[in-house]
Amino acid sequence: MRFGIGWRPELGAAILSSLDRIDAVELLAEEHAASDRRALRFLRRNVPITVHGTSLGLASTEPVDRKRLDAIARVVEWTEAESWSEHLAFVRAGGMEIGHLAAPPRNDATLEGLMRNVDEARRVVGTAPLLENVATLIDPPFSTYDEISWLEAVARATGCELLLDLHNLYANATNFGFQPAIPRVPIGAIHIAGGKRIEGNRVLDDHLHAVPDAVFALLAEVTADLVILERDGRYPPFAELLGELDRARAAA
Amino acid sequence: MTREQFLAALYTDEAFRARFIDDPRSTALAAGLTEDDARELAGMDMEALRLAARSFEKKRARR
Repeated sequence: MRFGIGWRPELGAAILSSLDRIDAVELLAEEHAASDRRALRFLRRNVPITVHGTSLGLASTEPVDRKRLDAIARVVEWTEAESWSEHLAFVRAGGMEIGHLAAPPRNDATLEGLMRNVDEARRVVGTAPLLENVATLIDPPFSTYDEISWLEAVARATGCELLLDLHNLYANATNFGFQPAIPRVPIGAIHIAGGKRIEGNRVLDDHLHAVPDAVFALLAEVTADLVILERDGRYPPFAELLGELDRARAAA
Repeated sequence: MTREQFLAALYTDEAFRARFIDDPRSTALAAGLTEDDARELAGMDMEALRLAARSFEKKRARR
């Protein structure tokens, strides 16, 4: 297994100077245009890159936006990415932009929309995305699948590997009272991250805190080619993040 | 409204969300959803809805 980290401009210098301990870097597609091109060229030459999208909204009965798909395709091509990924979420409906990743109704209508959107994504980008489970505070209404059977149905219907976010799995298991289990389908990559407890003892997946023990425990149960640590703010000294990667290596 | 459009409105439109929390069934039926859908929506965790809407609002504000 390989172990990498999500590229964030605030971490850029530390990442570039620590590539001997980082096997791959995940680049957010939507931040590509705002990132330092010189740093990205250096990254491209020196470490495998995987591209991560947050705005396509593939898990929807509405068609994926072609302009957003074209933008992802350009980033995948420019970075010579080894893979790319998107979330099992919807981000807009009827022209209303939600602004982030909303868990879709886990039902056959969403599954059919997802299959159409993945086909279009595969055609435009040239390769299929890995599909990531999302964290949610709301158990999505109109659902007929539970979380794990949904992920398994998604992988089987689309032929895509999962990007299994272990903190999202842990958060949803905590928020909705089920036992977290590893879906029995191909898993291409893993995300690890941390969050915090909020009202009602719910877990909010904010990527602002250290990876909890429960996530490392789940990591010991799953195999994938790549594990990516995500951190979106309140950055600790970079040595702490490298320490989390070391702990992931030990746990896997 | 479709089901997804209804959920998107709940997550983004504060006034719509307030009407829904006050009277979920009538709000859902007025939006064109079925009686079954309205019944399911009425069972939503309204506190979770408030928290999720707040989280989405923060994300939108950062963009």
